[in-house]
Amino acid sequence: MRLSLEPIWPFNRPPRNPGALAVALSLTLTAFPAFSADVSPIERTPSAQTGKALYEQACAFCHGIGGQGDGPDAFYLGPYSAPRPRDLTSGEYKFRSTPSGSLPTDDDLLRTLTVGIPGYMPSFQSLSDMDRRHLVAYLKTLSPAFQEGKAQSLPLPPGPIPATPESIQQGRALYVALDCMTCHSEQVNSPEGLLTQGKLKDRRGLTLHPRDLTNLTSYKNGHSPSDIARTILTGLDGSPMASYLEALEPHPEQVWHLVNYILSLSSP
Amino acid sequence: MNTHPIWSKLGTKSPLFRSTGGLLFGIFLANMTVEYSFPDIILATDIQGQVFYRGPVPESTTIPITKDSEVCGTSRKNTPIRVHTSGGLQHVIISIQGHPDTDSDQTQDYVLTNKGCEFYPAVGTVSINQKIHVSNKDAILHNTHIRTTDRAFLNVVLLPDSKGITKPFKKPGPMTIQCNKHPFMAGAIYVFAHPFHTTTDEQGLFRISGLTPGVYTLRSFHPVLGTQEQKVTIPSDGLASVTVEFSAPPP
Ligand code: HEC
Ligand code: HEC
Repeated sequence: MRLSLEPIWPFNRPPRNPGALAVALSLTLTAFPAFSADVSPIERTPSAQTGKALYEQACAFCHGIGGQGDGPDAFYLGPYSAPRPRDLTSGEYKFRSTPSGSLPTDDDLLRTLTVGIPGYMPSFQSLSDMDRRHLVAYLKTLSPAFQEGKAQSLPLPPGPIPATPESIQQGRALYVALDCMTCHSEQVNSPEGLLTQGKLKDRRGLTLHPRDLTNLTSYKNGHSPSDIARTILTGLDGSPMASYLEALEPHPEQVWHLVNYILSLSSP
Repeated sequence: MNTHPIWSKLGTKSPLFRSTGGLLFGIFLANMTVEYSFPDIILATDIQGQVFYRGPVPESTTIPITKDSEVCGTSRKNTPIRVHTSGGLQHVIISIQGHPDTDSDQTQDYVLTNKGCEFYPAVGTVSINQKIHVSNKDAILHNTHIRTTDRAFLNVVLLPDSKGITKPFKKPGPMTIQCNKHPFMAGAIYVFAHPFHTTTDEQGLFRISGLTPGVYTLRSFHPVLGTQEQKVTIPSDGLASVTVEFSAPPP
């Protein structure tokens, strides 16, 4: 006997209480053993349809029903300041492990939803892992760019390496040589840093401030050594922060010196 | 190398060299000695033309340069509309719309170079699946930032004399090129889903080859002056010639 799941699994509405649902399901399962074959694949495969319903509850008020970054609450984030809630139809992503101009991987999207974007977007850790995967499946239907195929994560060079005074010193030299202070003037005194203040723009032409690298908790893309290395190598697309992959290519391990220097800026 | 006139006339973009056409032509050659009525070989021809600008040429502005002046100089002339003494208009993107052949046999990389704090070429056209190779020939850092209308295509910092970065074009449409370090640097690339495109030179001249006879639309796009379209007829014998005219932008 095949039973439809319709009555107990409201596909068009995500479960409000996944715990209760699990109980309901397990009860049903014991009652109808033939069920299990139908249930498990659904539980394991992320569904864009379920993701859509979750999106409409948890994301649309900022990102807009169509995903264009025009939800009603977007206004309260400051209509004339960057960043606006992302236009999720654009296919442009800041927080990636992939080369500049590429799409993020599923894991990248999952990380963004799990940790949130400090100062701009809440963490969705309160949702189940599966719900976040449903959301990722739905996000990928919003932009046609995802039909181009998958992007590959860039491998990080072996590391991190210990933050010895020598490493920090080398990192500082790189910070100067790679001209980071043109935009992030912290510590290294740079008249140019002051010149770019207020002049950096995002894709909508709104002023976007470079990160204050001394304020670790404000980092959007994470502040573990690997997170910072990833930011430097991949860049944040849609902002002026570029990928330093090519610039560091002759000696990729040097990225860890830079990371050590950046972390030293916030240590007392 | 001595080539039979038919080869040079066919041009590399001839449909005869594309998959099925090439095969048919091969069969044709193989059957030459056998009795054979002359098949419908369609010879590909070229279209050439000149784009003119009619109207007052806006004066160029001068942008002061305060960063890396030892390489970039102290100022840059900004000339959004480049007009030759003949009236020819440079940097117009020309394309033929509606041609049945869409495969490009252009396999060479599109080479974009940062040199003297300028992009070379400043304006260019490419076919989908062609690759860009970006490099930096200056003794300073550059930060090449190429964008489609929606998203970043590439935003990379390039070391002096670097080996550069290569990446394929996947989507048709216009792209802008900027340098995050030197805001006075600017350029453009137009990606096409077919091989029939080019840009006008300093005299406003252009030529597109490999077209089969027919009636097509010639589209001319200038970033400041906009887009124009006109019908063109590619004759079965000889070259097609056209003139395109842009007038002053509305104030
Ligand atoms: C409080 C408003 C708000 C809510 C709620 C919100 N977002 Fe966001 N989101 C933002 C803002 C603002 C940004 C842009 C941050 C930036 O560009 O630095 C963003 C960016 C993103 C990005 C782009 C990340 C990247 O790599 O560039 C994704 C994906 C995203 N949000 C998904 C979601 C999903 C899915 C939800 C619901 C589960 C959600 N957001 C809920 C405000 C919000
Ligand atoms: C052209 C200006 C520019 C240059 C040069 C630049 N950055 Fe940035 N950087 C930015 C901007 C703008 C942001 C913030 C982007 C955002 O909030 O979306 C940023 C953000 C960051 C972040 C924080 C990312 C996060 O998680 O929030 C780090 C780390 C960083 N940059 C490191 C560097 C390093 C190291 C260099 C030199 C190798 C460098 N930057 C060079 C503009 C620049």
